[in-house]
Amino acid sequence: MKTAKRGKKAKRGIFPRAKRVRHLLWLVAPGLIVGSAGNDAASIGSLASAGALYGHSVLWALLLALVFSVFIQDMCVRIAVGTGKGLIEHARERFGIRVGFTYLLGLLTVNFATIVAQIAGMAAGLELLLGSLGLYTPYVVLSPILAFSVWAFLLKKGYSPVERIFSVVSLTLLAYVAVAFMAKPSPEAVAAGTFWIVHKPTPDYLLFSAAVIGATISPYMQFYLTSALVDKGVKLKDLKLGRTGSVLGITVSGIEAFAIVVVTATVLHPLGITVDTPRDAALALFPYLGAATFILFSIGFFASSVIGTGVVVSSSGYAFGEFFGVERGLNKKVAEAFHFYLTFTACFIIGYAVLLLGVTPIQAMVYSMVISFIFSPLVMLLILTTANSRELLRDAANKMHFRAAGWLIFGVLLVLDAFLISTFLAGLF
Amino acid sequence: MSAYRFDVHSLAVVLPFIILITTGLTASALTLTENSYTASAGGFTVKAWWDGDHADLRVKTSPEASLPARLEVLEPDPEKPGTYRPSPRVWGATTLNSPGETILIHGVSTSKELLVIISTEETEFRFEVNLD
Repeated sequence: MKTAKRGKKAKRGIFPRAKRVRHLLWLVAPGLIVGSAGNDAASIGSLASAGALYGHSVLWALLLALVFSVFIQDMCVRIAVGTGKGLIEHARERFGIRVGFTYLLGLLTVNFATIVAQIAGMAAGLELLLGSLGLYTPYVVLSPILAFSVWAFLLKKGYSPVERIFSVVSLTLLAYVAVAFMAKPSPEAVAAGTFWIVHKPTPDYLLFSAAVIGATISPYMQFYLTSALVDKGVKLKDLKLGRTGSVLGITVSGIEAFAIVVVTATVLHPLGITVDTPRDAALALFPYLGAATFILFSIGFFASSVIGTGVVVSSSGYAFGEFFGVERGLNKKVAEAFHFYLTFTACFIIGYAVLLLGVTPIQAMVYSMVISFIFSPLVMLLILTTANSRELLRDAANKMHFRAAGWLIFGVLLVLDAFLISTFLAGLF
Repeated sequence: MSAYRFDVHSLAVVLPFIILITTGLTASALTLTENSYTASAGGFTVKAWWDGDHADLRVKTSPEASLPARLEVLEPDPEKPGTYRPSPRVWGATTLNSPGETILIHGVSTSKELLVIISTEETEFRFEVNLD
């Protein structure tokens, strides 16, 4: 009996469990990567700026954005699992070539603007990090070197190693949490700002709160998550794990985003110091929290920009491939997926060329966020109508409560969009 | 590895980017050398570069400099033309204490015009930096 039991155990062995863990990590990785990419240079700039200006009182907006992200990304997982097609492919097939092309054009425009901020973010993060170690390396030299290195790394390594490395790197962003603890925030102030609107709702305050929500929900994240899961060939049985990965990614990125706001709200807000970019935030925090904080902040800022770069360029390549129905994916050879790599490289070329022409990172961040805001409700509409379709998704389709939540989120994003665009236009004239 | 065989497709993807990066590195080198400033007075050497979107500043103290000295960085106040304000990117003034000390301040300002003031007990040295 004992021998039979041992035999059965030996037959099952430890390998199936290891295989299951590998499968779990394999499914969780895109969610984790997307979550970390969400905290890119533009987002860190907005979060740090909001925390420095309005203290903990913007945390409720962040919580709301994270709840929205859970629902939106859950629908992306459902679409990938239920149909095996990316969002651009759905836009083209369901609404025709013109609508599909509009979505492709919209995504590429957002991505071209975002990649400028990502390349600038990588260079600024590494410049600060090396500077803190006593190695002066100018930002203008680092930006082409880093753009080339990340491009070559993605091209050479292929999807799987890049995904593994990015997943590990994304955990370094927890450096922000360490920084937040070093700042010794007041738990009461954090709780009050998270669960209640403690600030008088002035137009400027609402604008910053809206910017925090907009910064947390970037369209390229949804396109990337859907396409990356489709590229993996996920099946209906993977739905639960895929959803878990998405929630895990949002939770981790949410903790990081909270930490960024908490640290600037605790340290800079009482002193009346305002910041616009992650570089400003790192420099402003240095005298109060010391060199360790400065190094941790720079690591986080650099790592998120590297991951963000990979996600933005990959989502562009996937989108192009989906629209034209050509081969795509970082696992393919250049000759096999030529158009994918061409779009992917064009993203880097445009991003770096724009920086070279003298557009400053802060301008790039503002443009990428404004274009993202305009595009977000359209993306939400595509996701929602697709994920609601029982005909397309069958068992993976949205249930009643998800449909209701989805339409509510769409309504809020639409109002937010109108508010932000009108404020932005009013500022221009 | 076959992705790295230089077929026409690979060349079409790789070549434009290589050309751009080479141009970028050349332009960066030119920016750093052309838009820079160096001056010395009273044993203090002030060097500044325009690094794309911000100025970086390095102050070297020679053994003959009178110490301690106070380093202040001012930039033009956009609200009051013709006047200067402390750079919001530098946390107040910095003290130079040791001979041979070098202070490097990243992102000292987003302005190409700076006024660097080094005050010792006896004298005040003013460096009017223009990185254009």
